[in-house]
Amino acid sequence: MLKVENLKKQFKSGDTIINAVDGVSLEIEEGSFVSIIGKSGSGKSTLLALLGALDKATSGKIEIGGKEITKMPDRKLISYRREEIGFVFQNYNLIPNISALENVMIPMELTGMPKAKRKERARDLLLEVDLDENKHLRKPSRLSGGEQQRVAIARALANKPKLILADEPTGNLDTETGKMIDDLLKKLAKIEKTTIIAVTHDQDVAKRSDIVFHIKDGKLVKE
Amino acid sequence: MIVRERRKEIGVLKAIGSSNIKIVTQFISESVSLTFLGTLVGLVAGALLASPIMNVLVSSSLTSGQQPERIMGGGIGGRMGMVIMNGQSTIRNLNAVVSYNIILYGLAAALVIAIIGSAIPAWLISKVRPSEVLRGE
Ligand SMILES: Nc1ncnc2c1ncn2[C@@H]1O[C@H](COP(=O)(O)OP(=O)(O)OP(=O)(O)O)[C@@H](O)[C@H]1O
Ligand SMILES: [Mg+2]
Repeated sequence: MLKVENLKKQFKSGDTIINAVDGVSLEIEEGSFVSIIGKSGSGKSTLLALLGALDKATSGKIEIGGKEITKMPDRKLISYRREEIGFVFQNYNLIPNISALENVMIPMELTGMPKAKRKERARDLLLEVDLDENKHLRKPSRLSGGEQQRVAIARALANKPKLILADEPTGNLDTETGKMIDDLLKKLAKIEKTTIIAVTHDQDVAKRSDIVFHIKDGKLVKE
Repeated sequence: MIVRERRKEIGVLKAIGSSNIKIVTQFISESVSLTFLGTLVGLVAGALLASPIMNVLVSSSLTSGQQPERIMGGGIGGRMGMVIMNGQSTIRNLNAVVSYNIILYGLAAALVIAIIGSAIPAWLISKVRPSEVLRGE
């Protein structure tokens, strides 16, 4: 379902060239929970950015559900991000001046779903990630880190993406809350049949996932 | 100029699949509606205050004219009153008048400024790379 072939990303800084992603190949089945482990600077975020079309590869191929995104024009990439990818970030990245509910509604607004319908789905999703209904209208600043990450997960799920990319989703949370978020991601992946690729530092999390990749200097090693 | 918080917001919107056009439209409509709001507040305040201010000016001029001993730092109002009193004897029907033209010019000027002021952020918005959101703060 997700197929990557000899993917490379180079950054030029001055005279030096950094091979942030250096010939990555992988194949992942639909609905799997995949962990990526690696040291700081090993290329984890860069790899996720390429998979989520936030950035363009220098060379190589990414194919998702038979579509080759490395060949798509920019306009298509925007709808690819909107409809087929869900992002979860380490620092939650919710829009600060609107409510949790409205944050979850944004991706659906972008696809033109009618307001009543997206409101209803946003509410359902927030309940699905176990956010109390009395907190749905709060702004992100009035939610705890764990709660903000739940909202972010609900937002990522909004358009029923094929693939969720999570860059250290528990990096800012304490161990216990982090574990809850991980379990939630895993549970939802199964329910919604979404593939999840999560960057993590936590060996425990990695152990409980379907596939574990180690990344070092932009190169991937399957465990 | 985009403050850092806004820049992050733009990156996030791009990352979750919003287009440049959409984000720019959103930001411009935000600043245009702020402009309208500002204009409205200005107009209402002007309309409500013009008459009392004129009254203060005129009455202080009358009192100061009639009872110079009570000026006591009457400030601008007092002094203006003196000038008016010297030039004219009856000023009871003085009114503050704002013509529609002036309102329209003011509104047009504000809109032009808002649109130019948005074109620059629009260009900056298009430059924000969505991958920035994966960098820590
Ligand atoms: N926009 C960029 N310009 C230049 N170099 C970059 C850029 N983005 C990443 N790099 C470099 O690419 C390499 C991989 O970076 P990346 O952010 O993918 O690492 P990471 O594994 O996510 O690290 P961390 O755990 O600290 O988040 C690093 O050497 C980094 O300095
Ligand atoms: Mg990173």
